Amino acid sequence: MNRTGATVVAVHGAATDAGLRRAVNEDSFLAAAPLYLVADGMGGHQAGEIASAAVIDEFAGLTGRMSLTVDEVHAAFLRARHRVEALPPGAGAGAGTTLTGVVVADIEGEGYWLALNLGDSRTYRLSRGVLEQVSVDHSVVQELIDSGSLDAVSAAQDPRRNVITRAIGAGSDGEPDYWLIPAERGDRMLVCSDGLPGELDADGIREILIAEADPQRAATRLVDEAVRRGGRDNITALVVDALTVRSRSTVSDDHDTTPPSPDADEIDGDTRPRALAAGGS
Amino acid sequence: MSLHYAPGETPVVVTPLGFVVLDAATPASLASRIRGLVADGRGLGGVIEALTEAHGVSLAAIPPFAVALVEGDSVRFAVRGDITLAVEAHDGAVEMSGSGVTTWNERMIPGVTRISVAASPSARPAELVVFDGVVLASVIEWDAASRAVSTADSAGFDELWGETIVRAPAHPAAEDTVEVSVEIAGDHDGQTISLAQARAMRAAPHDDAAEHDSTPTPLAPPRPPAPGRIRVSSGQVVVLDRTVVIGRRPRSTRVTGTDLPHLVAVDSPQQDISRSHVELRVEGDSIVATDLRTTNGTTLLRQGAEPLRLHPGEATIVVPGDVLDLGDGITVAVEHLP
Repeated sequence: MNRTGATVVAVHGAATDAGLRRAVNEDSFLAAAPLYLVADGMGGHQAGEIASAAVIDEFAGLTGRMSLTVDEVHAAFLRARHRVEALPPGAGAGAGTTLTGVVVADIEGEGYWLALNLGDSRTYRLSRGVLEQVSVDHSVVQELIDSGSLDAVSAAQDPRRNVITRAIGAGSDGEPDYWLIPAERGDRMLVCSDGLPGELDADGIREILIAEADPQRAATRLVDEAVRRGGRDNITALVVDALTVRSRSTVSDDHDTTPPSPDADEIDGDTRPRALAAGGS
Repeated sequence: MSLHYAPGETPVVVTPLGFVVLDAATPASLASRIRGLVADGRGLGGVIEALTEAHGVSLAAIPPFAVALVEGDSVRFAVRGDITLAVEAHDGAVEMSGSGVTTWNERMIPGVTRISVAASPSARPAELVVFDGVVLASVIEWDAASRAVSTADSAGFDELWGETIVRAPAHPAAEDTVEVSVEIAGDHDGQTISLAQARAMRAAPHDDAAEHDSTPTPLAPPRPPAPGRIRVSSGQVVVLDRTVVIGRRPRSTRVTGTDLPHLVAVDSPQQDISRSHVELRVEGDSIVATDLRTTNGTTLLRQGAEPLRLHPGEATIVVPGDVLDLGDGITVAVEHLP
């Protein structure tokens, strides 16, 4: 997947498991530049599996590109939704699926993650040791948290935690959420179905992502750990590492904004802020 | 978001995302439409749009309103007309008013614990609860303390795919009632202007700015689809047909649908400029600029006025002729469309 010219060159690892309680793995995923997506099907009698696979198959047609625009991704989403809605009785009719993940985007020459989400699968970003949940669940519980009606501790026990408010198919016509996040070399993106955070809290996920340098080993260990802790749902994890990121900025973005200093005028254009430059040169 | 209220005559739109206090004369159909727009996440822009459609594009014709929308840990407020709204937050009590402002007063307040609105002085206690819908109220109270109260019973909740959330009310925790009052007046404040006046002022923004000294003058007549464009000193020219975020490595917040903001990256050799530094967005017919809580701030330069540092996180209306200084030699000029 090393493509010269891509705004983000990434390596990835992927793992999936049906878990201990479900007979069928209804999760589907796509991990091929520039798309890293997970779909968690629902519907029973294998219908969910068909729905998630149909969505992933639609997006598979976009692999091999350097980057994608939000319009291209959204067009594929609309086609995918149409396919799911058109599934015949006995082979997926009425089924639905979540969809989340990241796509490499090119914003005026700079490498970006275009994150998308519909439902309660999740996209996380590990950047400099900090794990951030990028996606916001489309779930009743999340809405209650947002409205201040429910705190995070109660949410984990809430009987409605599996009730989602948007999906592809299953009678939902909800639109996905999108985010554009400037990619940085060293970013590690995690795309997973809700079976992973259902068993592992954010700290547990972060520990494994930090401990396992190799993305495949990290993905495998995340899924294994979730199975070991109960595996109540299907579990899929994609781990995507940004090896190089194109950026037109001449300044390293390894540092955050520095406050103005009285000496600021003495710093020429190529010099890092004083405190940081001292260590580097 | 749930509200407690006492019956009255002021229409209050309540959704899980926030509430809107409307003028007593608002037709029920308009209130319902606004409820739908807010519930769909259309935000303040949706409210303004609906009111503008109903009352015409003249600024003077838009009735008073108060909008409170939860955004993460903060609440976005917008108040128009002779309304005074005091809010209790972790940082203390805050008063918001729309009087003396031609359009409306907008502000993000973090850590809001309580909002209450008294539409008439001799009101009964707010004892009825509403989660989603339109009610006629005299007093409303919103209390963030309810987030610590467990969500009573969920029996009967079986609407797997519904957008509607139904649950038993969580009563606000017993704590000191914070005095918050809002007076809803039927008339505007005498400082509203007509569309023609606004156009005239826009044609001569400098004179107007001089009269109001350092206060940013909110005015922006409608000219859909884009009310202007920006010219960044580094050369980029961007039409304001959608939200623009400018910064060293700008990032978009969550967007439903494909209407992602235009991200404009600027060089900042001294790293004076934050990754996401300033946002320009179109609200109804206005252009509003928001400093995204940056380290070094954003300064509004308006001819004839003292340079004004934007309040972090608060929307300020800008007009063609204004210049925003981001630091590190980067400026953003707001321009008319050619």
